[in-house]
Order: sequence, then structure tokens, then C-alpha cells
Amino acid sequence: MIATPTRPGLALDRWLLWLVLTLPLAWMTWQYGAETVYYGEYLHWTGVQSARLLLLTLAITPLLRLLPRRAAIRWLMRRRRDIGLVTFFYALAHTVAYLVRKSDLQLIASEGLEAGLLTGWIAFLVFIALAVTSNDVSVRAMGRKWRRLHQTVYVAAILTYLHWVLTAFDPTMGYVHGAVAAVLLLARLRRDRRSATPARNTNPG
Amino acid sequence: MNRKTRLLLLLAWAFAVPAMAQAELTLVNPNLVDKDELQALPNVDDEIAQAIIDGRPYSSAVDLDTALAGVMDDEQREALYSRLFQPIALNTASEAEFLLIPGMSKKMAHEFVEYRPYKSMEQFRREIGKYVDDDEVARLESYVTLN
Repeated sequence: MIATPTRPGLALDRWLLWLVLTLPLAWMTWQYGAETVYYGEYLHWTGVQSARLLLLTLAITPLLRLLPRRAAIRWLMRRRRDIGLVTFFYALAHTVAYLVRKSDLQLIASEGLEAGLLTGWIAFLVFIALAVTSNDVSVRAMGRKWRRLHQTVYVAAILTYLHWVLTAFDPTMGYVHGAVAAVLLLARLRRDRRSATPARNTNPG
Repeated sequence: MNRKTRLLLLLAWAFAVPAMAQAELTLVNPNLVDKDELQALPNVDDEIAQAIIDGRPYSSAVDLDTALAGVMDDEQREALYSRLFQPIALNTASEAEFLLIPGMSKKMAHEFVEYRPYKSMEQFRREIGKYVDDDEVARLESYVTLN
């Protein structure tokens, strides 16, 4: 979801990454369709996986700063946009399962006004904007605006964890994930503040 | 007390405790129970037993609760419902009806409704089993029915 140059063509590692990250979703969706996994289980699983992948996406830049020489982290950095897109597909599956189950616009609208679901809907709308623009064409066409748009991933993350905490029967894990996201957001804000402050000239000469 | 006796007592305890726990789960149906059995239940005297019999047939837990509200207070009714209850139809009951189950929270009653329709008790066990342990699922299951 953040501008990272990608190698042209369809690299094998990229295919493998997509396969590894989307196979569990495909498997669970198939089981849900076959009714061996139930609605609540599917909704919970897709939601939790989406929230975890989101944390991974947010953690890549801080990890690279901590461990700049690690090849695995540099590889993750190159594939960050892909991980962000997979995160979106998990959130999409979560949302579609909910919509299909409710299948009543009036009910969806009334539930959507409750804080727990409203936060989820706003986060999902932000994710749509990020997913649609997660490609090289959008990066080139939007220029600086692209970066600004993709920084809203932090807003979406806060809303996602609020959605988790407000809708879960036991919100403990939502708080834990939200706390990690808050630390990552603070690290980002600190970095932005530092880069906005001009470096003082300490050279007496 | 010798070693053998202690071992026997330990075995008896090991078998008795699960059996007693199982017995706690047994709920009697207000439409079927006789007056003597009713009078053995918590907070039920001759007058209340007669009120329960006179109020039959009960088509829902709300019916039963309405009939008893005039003769028992909230606390007495909650204690009674740990032994006597009209099973709740999982797929059609209101949240208010689920709240009549002793120890039921609003959040859990909402979860009961959220995962409808239930096609099997296995589905109920797995959906509700995400939140509470097996014993609590079994206890809650004893209050509901798919029919």
C-alpha cells in the first residue's frame, strides 16, 4: 500500500508470496461454502487474519530501520504493497460474508450506524481506496498525492482495531493488536517529525 | 484409614464429581413435571407449584416467567430457572427470552441471535464455544432447542 518500486514481470517470489498468503483464505472460504466452517468462525478468522496482516504491513518500515541489512526485511519491503493487497482481500472476504449473511439493506444500514460497525465500514472504505491505487500506474499518475493517500493506512488501522475491540465478545486480543499498531504509528510520527526538522549545523567551521 | 480405603474413596470421588456435575445440567420441563417434583425445586412451595401447574401449557420461557412474576421475585425465579426451564427455540426466540437463562449476559444473548440460523447443535456448540469453555457451552445448550 506504500510506494515501493516493484520489479517488472511476475517474479517467482511474488507468486509464492501470494500463494502462501491467499491459500489459507481460499481453503477457509471453500470450507465455509461447504458448511464445515460456520459463519461466526469464518467472520472471526478472516477479521483476525486481516488485522494481523495489516500489522505486518505497518511493521515492515520500522523493521527495515532496525535491521537495514537483513535480506528478508528488504524483501518484505519490496513486497509490502502485495502484503497490503492480500490484507485487503481478507478484509473483503470478512465484509462479503457479513453482507451475504445479513442480506437485508435496512438491517445492514441500521447496524452500520453503531460505533462497532461504523468504524469497520470507514476502515474498509479507506482500504478500498488504498487497494485500488496499489499499482504502478496509480503511483505515477498521482505523484505526491499517492503517498499522502497511502498514509491514511494508519487511520484505517486505528479504526480496524477499534472495530475489533467494540464488536468482539472478548476484546483482549483487539487491545493487544491495537497497542502494537499504536506503537508503530508513534514510531512513524516520530520519524516524520524528525525528517521535518532541519538538521542543525554543528560544524563550527 | 488404610491405603486401600483411601484409594477407594479417591476413585469414588473421581466418579461422583463428574456425575454430580452432569446432574446439575438436568433441567425439568414446566409442562411435564408433577407437583411433588416441583415442590422439591428451589423456592417452590405448594402455592407456587400450583401456580406453575395452573399456568400450563407454556409455549416459551417468557410465558413461564410471566406466570411466575406475580408469585416470585427476580432472584427466586433465577434460582428456580437453574432447575426448571421451558427450552428456548434457538432460531426464533428474542434476545429478551435468552436473557432469562441464569447467568446470561446481554453480549452473549446478542451472540446467540447473531449466528442464526442454527442448523445443528454442533453449530451452536462451535459458535458459542469460541467464547466460553465446554462446561458452560453444555450448560447453555441445556436451555435451548432447535425445535
